[in-house]
Amino acid sequence: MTIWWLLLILAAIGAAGIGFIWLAVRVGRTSRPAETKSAEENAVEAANKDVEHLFDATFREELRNRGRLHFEKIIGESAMFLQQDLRLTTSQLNEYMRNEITAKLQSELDKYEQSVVDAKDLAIDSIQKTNTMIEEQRKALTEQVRQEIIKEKQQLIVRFETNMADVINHYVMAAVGNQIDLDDQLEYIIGELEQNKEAIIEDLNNGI
Amino acid sequence: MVSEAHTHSTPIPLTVQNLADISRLIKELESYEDKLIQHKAEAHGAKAVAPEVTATLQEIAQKNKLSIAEAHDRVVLKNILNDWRNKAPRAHFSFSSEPSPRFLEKLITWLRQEINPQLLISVGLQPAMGAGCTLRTTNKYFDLSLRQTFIAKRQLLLEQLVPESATQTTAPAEAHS
Repeated sequence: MTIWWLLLILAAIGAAGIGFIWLAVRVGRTSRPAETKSAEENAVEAANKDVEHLFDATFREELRNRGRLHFEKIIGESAMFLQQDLRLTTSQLNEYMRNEITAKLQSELDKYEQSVVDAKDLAIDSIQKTNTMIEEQRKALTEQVRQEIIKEKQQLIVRFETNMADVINHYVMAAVGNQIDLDDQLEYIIGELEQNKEAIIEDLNNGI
Repeated sequence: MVSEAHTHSTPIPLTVQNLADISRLIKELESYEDKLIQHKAEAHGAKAVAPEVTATLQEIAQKNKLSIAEAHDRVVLKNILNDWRNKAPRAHFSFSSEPSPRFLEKLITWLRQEINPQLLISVGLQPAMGAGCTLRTTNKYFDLSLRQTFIAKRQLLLEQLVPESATQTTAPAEAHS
């Protein structure tokens, strides 16, 4: 608003000045033919002289100074108002920026936090599923191992029962084999021969 | 001509256990004849000194009422020995270790008394067999080892281990043809 006033005043002063100049030039043109002037023309001429008398260089200088001072004052006030407006605008802008940035930052942080929570929930679900799967596999493996152990034990038992005689024979020989010589076995051998005596005699007689 | 009575009734002495013993006796007899001829040749008509013979050969001759000094009896004796070598029944025993002479003597005594008075035996080794022995006759094989006894008496062990498992059958230790 103040700038407009300033411009308006300057325009008014300029228009006045131009008007005066035009008038002066007009008056000067019309003052040359003195003989044919009328009373009106004399009045006009006199008015022009009064104007020139009133609006002399000092007055013009004074006007100029006043105009300059007024102009400077207006400029100063305008500058001050401009500065105040600028400061206000800057502070408002800063405030606005701060609020916007804060809001935006908060929004992004909220989104980030939510994504972290979602990721955490997803990870927990995944880990729980993995744990469940591992537990199931562990149970299956345990059962399989148990079955294998049972099967192995059964095979060992079958193998032991099948080879029991060899196992015991080997054990007895390893344990006391060095202490039983052939002379000690004579009674056992003769006992076995006695049990198979008939078959031996029959085979020897048939062979003869 | 050899009497069948000599072949089938004359028991073989206990000191003659296997074919090698009989072969040795036959060689001894042949050696005796050779030495006798040699002594006669050296004696130049005088009475020749009879060579020495082993107690076993002497015993065989005495039991068969033969005289080694007589040539005819020597022929009979040689035929008896050859008959024993060719016709006497044989059995092969396998033991886990080398049997002592005392063991073999007792064994052959029982065999000649209970099985056949002219049985000849041969001995082999099966160190992995353990206690007992195996017997192989003309057509059969007898496993008389301790292992076979354990197999035959397996049910006893099962009854001790699992008292309820007394339903399984045993595998008897029999001869294998």
